[in-house]
Formats: sequence, structure tokens, C-alpha cells
Amino acid sequence: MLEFEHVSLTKSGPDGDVPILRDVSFRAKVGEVFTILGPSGSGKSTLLRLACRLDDPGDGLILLDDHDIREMDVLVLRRQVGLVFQEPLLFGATVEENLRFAADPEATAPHLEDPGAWLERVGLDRELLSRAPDALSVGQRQRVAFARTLIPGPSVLLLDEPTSALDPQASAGLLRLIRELRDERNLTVIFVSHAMAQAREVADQVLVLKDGRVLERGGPEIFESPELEDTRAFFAGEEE
Amino acid sequence: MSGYIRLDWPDLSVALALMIVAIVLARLDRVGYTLLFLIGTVRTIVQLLAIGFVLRGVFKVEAWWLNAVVLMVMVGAAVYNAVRRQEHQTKGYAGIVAAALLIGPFFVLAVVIVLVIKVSPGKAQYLIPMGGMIISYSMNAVTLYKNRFDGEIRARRREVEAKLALGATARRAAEDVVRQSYRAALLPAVNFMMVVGLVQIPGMMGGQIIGGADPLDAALYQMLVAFQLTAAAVISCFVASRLTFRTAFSRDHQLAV
Repeated sequence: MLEFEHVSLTKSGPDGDVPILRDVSFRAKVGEVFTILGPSGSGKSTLLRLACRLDDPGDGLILLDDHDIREMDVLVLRRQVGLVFQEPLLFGATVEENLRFAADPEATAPHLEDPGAWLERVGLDRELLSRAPDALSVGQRQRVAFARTLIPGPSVLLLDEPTSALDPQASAGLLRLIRELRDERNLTVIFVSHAMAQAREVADQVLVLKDGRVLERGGPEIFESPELEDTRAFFAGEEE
Repeated sequence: MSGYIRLDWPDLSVALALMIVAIVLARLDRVGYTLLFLIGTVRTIVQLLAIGFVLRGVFKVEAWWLNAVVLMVMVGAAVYNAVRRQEHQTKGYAGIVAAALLIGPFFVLAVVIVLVIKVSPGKAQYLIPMGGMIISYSMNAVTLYKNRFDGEIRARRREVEAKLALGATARRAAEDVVRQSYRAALLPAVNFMMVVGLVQIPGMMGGQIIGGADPLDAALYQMLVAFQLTAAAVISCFVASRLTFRTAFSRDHQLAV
């Protein structure tokens, strides 16, 4: 379970302080896909960065299974809370190197039982193990990034618009994979998106964010009947 | 072999005429450096005359503390220059360079003066030229390191953060960035040792030969210079690398640039 309590963040820019998040609270439960929707610049990705402590909030608390994440060992936290970035970034010379790195980032020769099985789990051929990351399609790279994030055995999966670089077919496949993984591993999934159609397919809970503030929240019924005019306008804009 | 041909002002005016040729040609091709060449010429004359007079005075006194003052001024100028030449402003960078230049060059200089040349620290004839060489060479290495590190860590921030997100320590996540920065800083030292004597006769050896020294003696001195410069550059980068790293990451392994 991942919980945000009154989280705020301000960043200083050339024009003074800019509020990125303002008093954001929510609770994402085990086994659910918690979807965060909002236009670009609404603070969605920042929420995910805060949850794995790539950044820290100015105010408020973030709790993982009722523990303040700032009290935890950050390296342990980051293996419990896996982040998949918007653009899949693979490093090193081969796909296998990425998977082994995830198994034990500090080891020079990390042990990983049957790395090919991890590729198969995300719908890829195990023959890709020896391939160079550049030789893969974007969709394949994103699936490798998924496999890499799953290897440490996280209980929370943070997905930052993981389908935005993919074509519709690859997106649909990835959304299916997300649902499967949630069920199979009983994961808490935070799915950030600006595309309503995709969020609709996977969402158990929805939070709409605008200008760093929570606009509206609720179950998937929110897509049909949003309460606020702003939410309606955002959804309408998305559907055009 | 001993002695050398002394230059006087009329001799030097011929060399100055060469500068006029350079300025005229640069003007013909509209290089736009006329003013800079003029200022550079004047500064070369003034700065070298000044250091000539200062060193003449320092050589007469032969006191270790006076040598120390001269070396400290050199370090100060090197720090100022390095801070000015950084492409990305880093808080506390002057302190980082100062620490690197006080540890690397001075350790190497102490070894060379006490164990190799075996003269007293008051012997300005050895201490000052050696110290100047080591400090400026280390300054270049530290500057190259810093500029490469700043560039790489920004260009590869997504990769670094992807590794951090997998639970890697900051040191592990930035390992490749640090390695690239070291290589950029130390490549000149490696290249120098590879081609020394083949492509060029370096300044120290050339100077000694012109000064009348036996070429083999000059070669031994040049070896000393090559080793001391490389060692000082590596030690300085070793210090600067650790301190620079602390400005780029928080204690909680968060990228802070």
C-alpha cells in the first residue's frame, strides 16, 4: 500500500518559486491499479519520483505499508518500489546486462537464475538476451524495462506513461501485461497517464491532477460522470 | 657543454617582429584577433618580466617560506582560472580545486624535492619551476575532469536515474560517468608519455639543452617531469572526483544537478 499525505513540492526556477504539487493526498491499495491522470505539467511524474525518493517533497508524508519512506534505507526502498520511465532507457552492451544489473546493482558479476524466463514473462523471446539495446524496437525496450523493474521483486510498480512511445497494438499488449502482473504478483500499481482511453482500460481507482492539485478522485465511473467541469473539460479534450 | 647564448632587447625585437607578421596575416584573413594578439603580446612581456624579477629576488633569498608564498600565489591563480573556466557553476568549486591542488601537486613536489633531487626546500631554482609545472598541469587535469563530469552527468541523467531507481548506489549509478571524466582528464598525460621524444622534445628538456645541459641529463630530468606530472594529475583528479561527486548527489543517492 502506498499513501501520500498532504504532499507539497515547490521548485525554484529563474522566475522564483514554482509550486509543483499542492497538498496531494491519496491511498493506493494492494492489488489495484491506481491511475493518475492529468495534462502535461500537472505534477504526475513528480509524484512517482517522490515515491521512490529520486526527489523528496517539501512537505507531507509518503508511507509504504504504513512506514514513512524517509525513515527507510533508500536503497532498500527503491527495490520495493519499482519505477518504469516514460521512455525506456536500457544501458550496457546487452539486454541481459540490464537484467543482471537489476538482480544486484552492486555486484560485479550478479547472479540471476534463468534471465531468459524474465523476458518470456513480459512476452519477449529469450533470444533477445544477447541483443544490444539499440537493436530492439521501442515496444521491446519498454518490455525489457518492465522485466528489469520486476526482478528486485517490488511490491509497488510505478509506471510513468509507459505506453506513450508505443503504437496502439504494442500499447494494448502492455496494458494487458500490466493487469496480468497486478493479479499474479498482487502488486500495487500506480499508473500515470495523460491518455484517458488507456487509463480507462486498467484503472481500479482514478485521481485527476491539475496544476499540482487533486481535481477529482473516485472509481472508474468517474470517466462517465465527472463531477467537476474542469475534469469534464480535460476528458473531453482527451477524447478529441 | 656549458653556458648558453644570452638574449638582449635588440635580439628580442626581431622576435617581436615575428608577432607583427602574425598580426598582419591574421588581419588579412579577418581572424578578428588583432586586439587579443596585441594584448597577449603586451601581457607576455609584462608578466614574464615580472616573474623574472620576482624569481631573481626569490633566488637571492633562498628561504623556504618565500618559496611557499610563491607556490601559494600560483595555487591561488590556478584556482581562479579553473573556477572561471568551468562550464557549469558548482557551489564550493573553488574549495574543491584548492583542495585538489594542495594535495596532489604538493605531495608529488615533496617527494621529488626531498627524495629525488634531494635539495633543501629553500632551493628556489628547483622548487619554483617544478612546482609551477606541476600545479598548472594538475589544474588542467582537474578542469578537464570537472567539465567532462558536468557534461556527462547531465547528458546521461536518465541512465543514472534508471540505475538509481533499481537500487544502485550513486557511486555505482555514476560509475561510467566518473570513468569517462577520468579518461578525458588523463588522456593528455597518456598521449604525452606515448609520443615524448618521438614527436616532440618537451619544454623542460628543450630548455635544458639550450641552457647547455647534456642531452642525456636533460632526458633524465624530462622523465622525472613526465612521471611527476602524471602522478600529480591523477592524485588531484582523485581528490577532485570525490569532492565533485558530493556536489552531484545527496546522501540519499539522489541526483542533485
